[in-house]
Amino acid sequence: MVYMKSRLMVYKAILWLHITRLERYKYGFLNMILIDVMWYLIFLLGALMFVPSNEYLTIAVITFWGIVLWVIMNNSVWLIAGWTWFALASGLVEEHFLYNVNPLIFIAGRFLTGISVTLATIPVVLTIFSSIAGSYIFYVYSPVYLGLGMILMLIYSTLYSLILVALSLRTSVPGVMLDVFNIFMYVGGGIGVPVARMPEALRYFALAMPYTHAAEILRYGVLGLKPYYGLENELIIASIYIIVLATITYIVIKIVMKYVRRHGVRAIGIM
Amino acid sequence: MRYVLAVMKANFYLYIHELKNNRGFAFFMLFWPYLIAFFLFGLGTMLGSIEEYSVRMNIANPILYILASSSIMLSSISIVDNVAGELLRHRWIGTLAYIVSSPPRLIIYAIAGPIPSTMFSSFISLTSILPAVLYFEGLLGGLKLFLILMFIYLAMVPLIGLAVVVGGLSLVVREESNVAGFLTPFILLVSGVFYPQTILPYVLQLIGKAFPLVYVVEATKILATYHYPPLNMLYPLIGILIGMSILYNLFTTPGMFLVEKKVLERGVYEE
Repeated sequence: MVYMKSRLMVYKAILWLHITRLERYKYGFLNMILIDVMWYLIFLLGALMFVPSNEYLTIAVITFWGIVLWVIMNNSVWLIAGWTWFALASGLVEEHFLYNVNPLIFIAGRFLTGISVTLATIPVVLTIFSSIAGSYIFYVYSPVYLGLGMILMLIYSTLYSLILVALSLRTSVPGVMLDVFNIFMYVGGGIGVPVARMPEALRYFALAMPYTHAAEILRYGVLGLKPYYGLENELIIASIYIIVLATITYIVIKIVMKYVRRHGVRAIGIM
Repeated sequence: MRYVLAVMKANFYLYIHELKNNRGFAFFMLFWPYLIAFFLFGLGTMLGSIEEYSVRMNIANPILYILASSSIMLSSISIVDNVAGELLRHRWIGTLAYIVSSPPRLIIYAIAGPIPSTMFSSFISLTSILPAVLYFEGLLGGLKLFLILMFIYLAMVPLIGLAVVVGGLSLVVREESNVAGFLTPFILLVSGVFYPQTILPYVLQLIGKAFPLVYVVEATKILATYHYPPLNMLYPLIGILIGMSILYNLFTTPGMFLVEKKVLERGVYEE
């Protein structure tokens, strides 16, 4: 039996695997982008029907960037965490244990698939949205904060996905729960709606979510909308959330891996 | 006919037992239409107002319409997914080879098999919103809901015809995921479930008219507009759906025979 000795070799193998899969399942990849775009449009065109004509352009821009953040979160959750089901069904998790490779590193490699789908989806949605909102959609108040908001979202959603993967190996989270949570996050998690526009009860919930702070920074970058707690405070809160989420992810992975090595695994999507 | 009934019975038996084994999923079947309606309503009212939606959609009762169209959306997902995704699911779990080599033809499994479970899940989707509809619209609302269910059942026949060919294609292209998955969001997008179809580009409007769902949506709009809906406005829609049922299944059945031939020639798995 050949054991993988070097960590670098492990990372290279995982990277190779995910790139090969991306190439092998190219139709599925394109299909994912198409499906994503269409689902977003169905709901957004519906939501835009609520908006009065005089606010239409501003709301279309807020909605578009909310969608971009949601694409990042949704793809991380489904293409990383949701994929656990497939990895388990094909016996790949146990296989990695046997070769002394943490299966979470292998599953986390799906980040590559997630980011590829996200990067391909955004221009398509942008093109379609520009036909609705015109060139106004391309206007950016501060590219630095726009980029920062997106990077923050990417970090939060990847860490959240890893927590989900780890938890699912231990507890079995039904796949529908992920959908429910993702949908709720768009409205209640401050991704699609500025905190200031939210009803008060929902506002407290939204402010407790890390995504909200990434979204508030991004909205400042796009439209110059002042974040709910002010820009400087939002930056501090966003940084604290990174540390907290990273610590939680590390602890959860440690505990779950110890448990799983002894008792075996369960997964997201098991119905 | 013996095989048709046997396949229907077996498929429904499997479906019911899946629900029994997964109560969480069964619960979410009741909960989903509300979640979708909440998402659209919540997002829409934070960005605009329900009155604006009512004006733009040209409907008198927007709440009834949003609830009903959420259920229509879920029913369409279940119709297309049950038919188009069924064969792929069998391939994943390793039972497709047995199905292909068993006495009934593949088309019987593909078309007849999912009908009872699809009818059942559509029934659940629609009746789950009955309490809300009774609250807002009284007994007349309940009756309208029953009419919408009948329209969904009528639209199911041509939809199955379309889904079966696209589902068959996913076997031929041998992808891991369902490449036919684009069909549901595409149908929903061009049918204008949550927005007037007229806001779409003309080409998409025309394509939309070729899908049965647009006529179910049209019927729902009529039912949500008039207190006592004039039935003579619904008759032409029924006629179109019946015509589509005959036409689509006439054309798609040979397509499925072709897929069956290909699968028998090349085998079910690639590796």
